[in-house]
Amino acid sequence: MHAAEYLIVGGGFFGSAIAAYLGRCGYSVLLLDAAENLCTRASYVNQARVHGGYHYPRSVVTALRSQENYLRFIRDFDAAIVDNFEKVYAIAKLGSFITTEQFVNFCALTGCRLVEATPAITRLLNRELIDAAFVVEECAFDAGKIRILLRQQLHSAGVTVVTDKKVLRIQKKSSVLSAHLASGEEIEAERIIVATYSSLNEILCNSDLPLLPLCHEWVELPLLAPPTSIAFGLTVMDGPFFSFMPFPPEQCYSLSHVSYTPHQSWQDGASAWGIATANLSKQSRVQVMLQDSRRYLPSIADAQYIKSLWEVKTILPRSKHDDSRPILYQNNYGDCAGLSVVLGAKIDNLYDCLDYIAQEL
Amino acid sequence: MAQSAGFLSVIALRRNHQIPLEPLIHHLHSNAAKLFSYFEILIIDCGEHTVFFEEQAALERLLSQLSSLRYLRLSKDFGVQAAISAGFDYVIGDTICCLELGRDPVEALPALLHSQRSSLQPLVLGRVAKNTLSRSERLLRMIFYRFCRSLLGIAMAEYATTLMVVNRQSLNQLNSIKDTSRHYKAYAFIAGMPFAYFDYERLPEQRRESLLKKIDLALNFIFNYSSRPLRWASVVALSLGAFNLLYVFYIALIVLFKQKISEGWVTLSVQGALNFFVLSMLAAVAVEYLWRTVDESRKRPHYFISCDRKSEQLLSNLQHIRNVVTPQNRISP
Repeated sequence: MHAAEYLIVGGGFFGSAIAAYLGRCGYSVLLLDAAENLCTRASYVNQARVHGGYHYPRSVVTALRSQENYLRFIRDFDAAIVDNFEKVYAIAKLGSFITTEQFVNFCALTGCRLVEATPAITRLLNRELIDAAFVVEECAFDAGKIRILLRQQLHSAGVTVVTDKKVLRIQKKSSVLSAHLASGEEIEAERIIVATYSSLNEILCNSDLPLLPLCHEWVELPLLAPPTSIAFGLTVMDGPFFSFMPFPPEQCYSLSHVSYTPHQSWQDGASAWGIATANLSKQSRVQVMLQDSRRYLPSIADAQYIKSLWEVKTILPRSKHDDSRPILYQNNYGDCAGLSVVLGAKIDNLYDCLDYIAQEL
Repeated sequence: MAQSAGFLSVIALRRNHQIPLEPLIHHLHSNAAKLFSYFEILIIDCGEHTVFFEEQAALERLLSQLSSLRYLRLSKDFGVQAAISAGFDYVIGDTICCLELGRDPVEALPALLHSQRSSLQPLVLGRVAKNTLSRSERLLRMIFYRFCRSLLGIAMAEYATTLMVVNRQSLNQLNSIKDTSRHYKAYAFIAGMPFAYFDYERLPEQRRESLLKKIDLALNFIFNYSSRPLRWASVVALSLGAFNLLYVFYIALIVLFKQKISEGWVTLSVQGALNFFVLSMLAAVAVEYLWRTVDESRKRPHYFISCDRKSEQLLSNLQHIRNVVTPQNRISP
């Protein structure tokens, strides 16, 4: 059947936002997702941080774009923004890739505003290990509310959303593209955008298209009830440290640790993709994360563990080296006219991707 | 070569003012634009010469014609390492290249960047081929490197030049070393940073650096990175003390057992001369370290900037930056 001008495969944040954008541009758009609801995977299981650029002193492009897109994002998704807490960035004395001086200079260069943290905050930090702490302009997002907002945007843009439909492969048929579904159905569209994040290569492999060099990590995001003394989000920079951030969808905090959050990692090869996530261990490392984090923030030891969320996080190989988080966007992928692939990155960098798509419309 | 995503910073050291600035910077600009979508060029005038009207006019033209250009002039000649430090402090890129205008060929940039990607090392240092050096320089360098390596225990990147490429993470680590006198050739070893060499042909020196300056650089290097001369001084001082003690015993034995004591003019003279020579050497070494300690304790900046100019379109590229990797950009490292 000929379904739409645009078929978007993957109903995560990027897929949904791109579908809504194309719908607003006047195209007929069909959005398919394998799950029962939108934004249930990596769009939900993350630190819920709206990046203001502070997090990337080693990738100025990511920092500048985060800074540039920050206000735009909180304007467009205002109802999902949570900013009723102070966001603190602390610089570790030992083992950090940057010094306090460098962090301050970096913020000045990129226009990221910051002020020194108040004594009420700094007295909670171990000053033997923390060199300086700053309150910054950064907030969190509620992924549950983002989902509702995206649903509204998709509806008002006239996008047809179909969930619980898994696309297996894509085939070029004369002037159109055809998506073969696990249910046996076949949907034709003039253009297809694949935005399935960690399972991008699954579709590409099934479609006999070249695979993307993607790196994957099996990550654990423990959720905790913070002690009453901690009413702020804390990120210790810049290296093998941790972030303790509000996680609005579940009214608690998430703890992520650079060293312990990824449990396993792998890279898609030239002909092989992914591993079966069902077989991956879900043995929590929350105690290890807390053990290390309490060295910097002693009162975190009183946080109550609730549960852990598990997800596959996917990045480009270069991001391992330079700490950048660019979005991957390739149109006419593998010489297949009309087929585009998108690998989303930081949620607030969405607009950079939309700008590229706009150029092609 | 496809353009890379990310942001390139090029530090262009300007030491020789006889080399025309405009064609070199235009050439560098067009090369950088081919390599990276987003870049900046930071010209560091090392402050070795007075800037005359023609050069200032050329600079003004460059700043008005080219985007992403910045010019810093050091208030005086603080040495090439301080100039590199200034560049490292001011650049904002994810990948940082450093070269000396007129000495390091701009054409080497693509190969240099490629060697960093292919070697997967955070730091790549340009190295000049030994056979391109004069015989005397080669000999002096060889003696110096061997002396540093064997006797002082200082490892350094031998035959390395000012040409280098480093990633942001490693640059931040280098910048966290706060020595007053910085020598980047040794930093890779001090920080235990993995690095690779990039062999290339350096352009001939149009203005030879004075021997005194080179000696000063070598002494700076030795006393900055090795405490062994101080240890030697200590050992020699102890030996001298022991020798003098033995000499006292010798005198006592002579007095006790010899009937007729000669005047001892020769012995005394030799002993006095030797003692003073050794004491002078010890004082020299101690003073060198004392001077360095005083210098470090002042915590003065490594350099002062006398002129800071930006191209009018400095941020023009940044406004068009998108954090997106496309087929035109590189995905793999």
